[in-house]
Amino acid sequence: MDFNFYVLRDNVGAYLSGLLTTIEYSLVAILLSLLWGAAVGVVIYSAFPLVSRISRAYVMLFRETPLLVQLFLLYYGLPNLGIALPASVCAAIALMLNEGAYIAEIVRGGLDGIERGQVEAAASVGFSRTQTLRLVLFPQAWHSVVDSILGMVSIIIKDTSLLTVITIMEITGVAQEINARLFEPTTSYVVAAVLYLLLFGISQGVVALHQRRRSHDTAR
Amino acid sequence: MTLHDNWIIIRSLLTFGLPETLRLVAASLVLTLIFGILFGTLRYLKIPVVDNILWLYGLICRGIPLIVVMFFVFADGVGGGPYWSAVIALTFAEAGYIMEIVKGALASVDQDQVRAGEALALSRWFIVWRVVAPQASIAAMPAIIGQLILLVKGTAVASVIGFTELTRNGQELLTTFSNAVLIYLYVLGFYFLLCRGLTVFSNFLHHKLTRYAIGVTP
Repeated sequence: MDFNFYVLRDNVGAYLSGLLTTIEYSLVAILLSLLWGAAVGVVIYSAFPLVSRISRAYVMLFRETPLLVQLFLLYYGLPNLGIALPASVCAAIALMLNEGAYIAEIVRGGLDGIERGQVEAAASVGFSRTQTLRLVLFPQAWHSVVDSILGMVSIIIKDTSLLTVITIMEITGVAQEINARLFEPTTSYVVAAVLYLLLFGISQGVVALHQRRRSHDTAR
Repeated sequence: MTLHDNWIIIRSLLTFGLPETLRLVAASLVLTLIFGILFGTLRYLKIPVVDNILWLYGLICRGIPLIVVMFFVFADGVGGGPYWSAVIALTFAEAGYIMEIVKGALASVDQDQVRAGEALALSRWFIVWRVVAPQASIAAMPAIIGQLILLVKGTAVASVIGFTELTRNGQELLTTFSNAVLIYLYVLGFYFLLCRGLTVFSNFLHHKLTRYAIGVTP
């Protein structure tokens, strides 16, 4: 249970590459799940007969099962069906589908919060469906969901730690490898924890910055 | 794979993996609730130094992924075997969230009632436990069940330190039956039933509690 500094000193490079990998996957996951989640959220909100029902089932299935098993299913299961994807692609897809389900639910909630009268009003002045979405619904929904979406960012960063189980060397994977090599559990995992806290601090900083800007906006 | 193989897989998950997962959930849930409610109450009371320490704990909880805590606890031998390591890691990671929920729920109760209690010279703990807590528990219940669902999903991470719950059970079945898709779909199915059940229960409870809180007798 000792913190041995040499472990950190000798492995700075490895930890840095792990940190970069985590950031890389987090950014990809945030981008993909935002686009995917927003699309699914809109589909559920618009209540297209069959597609909405399927989307609803998808959201429910992915929200009520662990991401870890979803990763296993994609990485170890798909080759059985003749689809062998590299670990990085599996990771991106799994994160997109999993986090996208949560974001879809957030987006749907945001859209549902806007009174239907506005949709009718937009229709009566001749807005098309896409125009209504783009000019009327999205700007308002964005305002109400942005806090929850920013909250998802720190969750996504944490969730990338599970990618270590499908052989991706992000922070957790690096720490595991260092511990296996040097048998220094305390140091290797404490360094990993500190790196995660650093990323968490940055994401919280962004949230605080946004909230401050928003309070300025409303004060004006 | 024959139909019989499917049956063997389901039976194995049902008689071995599922009870182990539930055993993990039960112990972690009890410990999480004890620490979460205690810490949440302490934070609500805003005791100077304790409050700062718990704030820091909450921050660490929200910032560090469960899998890192799991590896750390297991590799350091804090909990002994995989079972208690997993329980300790899950409790550490989840109690911080329960703490925030409890603190928020206690603070959501109308604070005039606290002042009324003080005017009647009731003790501080009496006010918290007999006046504020009963109302706060209704407000906190849906969020706590939401956290319980996260706990159930979190137990899957215990597979990485070699505790044979549902996920690990599925991995071990892979050595006998090579059909990974089917096995992991069954594993997912079990988690889905557990979590979906809890969600339905939560909605039901929320409905009942709201009716109870606004004074509608069924």
